[in-house]
Amino acid sequence: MAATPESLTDWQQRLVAALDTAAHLPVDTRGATPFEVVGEYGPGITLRHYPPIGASRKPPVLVVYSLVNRPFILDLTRQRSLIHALNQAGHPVYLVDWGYPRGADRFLTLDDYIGEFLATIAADLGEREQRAADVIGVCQGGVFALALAALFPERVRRLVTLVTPTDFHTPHDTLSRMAQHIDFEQATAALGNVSARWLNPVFVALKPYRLLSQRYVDLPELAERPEALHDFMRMERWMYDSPDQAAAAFAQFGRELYQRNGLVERTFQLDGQVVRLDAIHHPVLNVFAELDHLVPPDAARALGAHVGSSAYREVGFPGGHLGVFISRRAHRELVPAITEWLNPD
Amino acid sequence: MASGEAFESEWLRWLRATASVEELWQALQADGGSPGAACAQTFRSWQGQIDGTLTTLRTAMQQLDTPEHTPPPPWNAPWLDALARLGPWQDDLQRTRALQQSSQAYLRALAACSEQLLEAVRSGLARLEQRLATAAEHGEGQPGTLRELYELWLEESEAAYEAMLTTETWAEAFGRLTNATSEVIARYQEQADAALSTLDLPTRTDWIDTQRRVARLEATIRRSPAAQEIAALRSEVAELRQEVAALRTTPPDGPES
Repeated sequence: MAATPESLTDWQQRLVAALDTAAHLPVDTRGATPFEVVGEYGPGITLRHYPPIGASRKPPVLVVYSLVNRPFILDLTRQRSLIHALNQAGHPVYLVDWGYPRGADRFLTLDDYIGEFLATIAADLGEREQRAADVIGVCQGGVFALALAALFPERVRRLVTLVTPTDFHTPHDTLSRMAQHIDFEQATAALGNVSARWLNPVFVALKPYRLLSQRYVDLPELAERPEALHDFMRMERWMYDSPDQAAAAFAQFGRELYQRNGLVERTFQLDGQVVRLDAIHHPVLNVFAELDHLVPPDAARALGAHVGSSAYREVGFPGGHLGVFISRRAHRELVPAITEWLNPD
Repeated sequence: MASGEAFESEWLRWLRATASVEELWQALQADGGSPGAACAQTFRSWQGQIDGTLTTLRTAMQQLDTPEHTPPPPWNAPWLDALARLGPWQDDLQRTRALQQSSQAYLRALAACSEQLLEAVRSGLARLEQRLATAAEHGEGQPGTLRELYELWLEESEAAYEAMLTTETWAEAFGRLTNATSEVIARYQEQADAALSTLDLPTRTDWIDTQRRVARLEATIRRSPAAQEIAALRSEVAELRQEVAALRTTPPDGPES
């Protein structure tokens, strides 16, 4: 976009060229790294195994992603893949694929997701690999990982939380402020499983000018950069490839964590057991994004004040929520730091 | 873009909305690169459009308060509530009354949110006008390209929007709209269920009941000892396969070894 009609035409021509190319670009939502499914743990919930590269055999890593989006953001391309980087460092990687909840899954609670499915996965993995896994929890999956470590400590070796909220009542948490007045029980009773058609607009509405305007105004700039355009299309698919949220678990997360701040207030219970952060004594690496508009830095950093571990370390990444997974800088600096932390000796 | 749908996608609507920045760009050019009469006129025109929409919205909200749209006055309400509980059609009357009330609440909540969003757009434009004027006063550079002007518009609009987003007023309005939406959906579901039930067709309630039974059955099967045994066997088979695969890739021992 420039000043003259000629350059405007040029912008439009580049837009057309970008759209022409984009129309034919394949997007594989399974991710870039080959895997095999090694178990099914619930309705549509599977465990993927990504074997390590090379002879060196490091401890297994269990990646627990959020229920809100699909995990292929962690494996977008070979160059921007946390999973590939872990494989390259010698770790067998296991990833929980939560799948797409169907109608009858509306009754699944966090007790089921964490207390049954995740806990069983961690136990099976320990048996399969003959040792407890290092667990990497991402965003909401980080909350799941913390609960796992607190309630089933023997099933976790080391713990990494990526952009994970712990304190849901920090001053700059816009999403939390908006959640305070919602009647989650009423909403899920009416909507059943919460469709992405309802949820995506809420997330987009936190940054509408960037996500609905600037992102597409910039699109023509990619006309002559096919790899960047391909990445753009992958991201575009990822952003809106959102599973429905199982009604009961969604309401429980909104009420117990966003409204009651259950991790900090020690009111969050699974199967009748309080999830106590001070029961976590594993080595913990807490990664937060300094410009995160979904999980503000304070919300993530609060873990340090509540966790029982004496081997707690936190790393601030200079970027936004997604930058932690996909930015070049993250793959240059942060991912190697994580693999190094997982292998201290 | 093979289908007509692509031409009406959300992002194209946003692109068209940002096209109005081009209008301001033309005005800035007409003013000689620094904001003057043409820019002022463009800003007034935009503010006028927003004011017009706000007026329409507020009029619609006021109309919701006219007798034919409002719930009955408090002195009348108990009588109507009682009437709705009399006679053979009392269930239908009560459902209809609940649907009317929830629809009114939804429209009010929607209007309240829309009003705040429009105010944020208005504030964003005021900020942009002020920023251009301040830059001109201090002899600072004006945007040299349409793209630069677009970036300024984006920054100021976003700042105004985010200021709105962080207020308790917005959080309350958003919460009211979410709750009113689920309430009105629930009331429609009740109406639909009543109609389907009359025709002896499966209702939503029936369907949820069936889903509940399916979920319980699935959980029972999942937790049964037989299922756990099968899972253990599967895992063992997978491990054996891995071992076989590893053996196949290992070169056979030569005769000399």
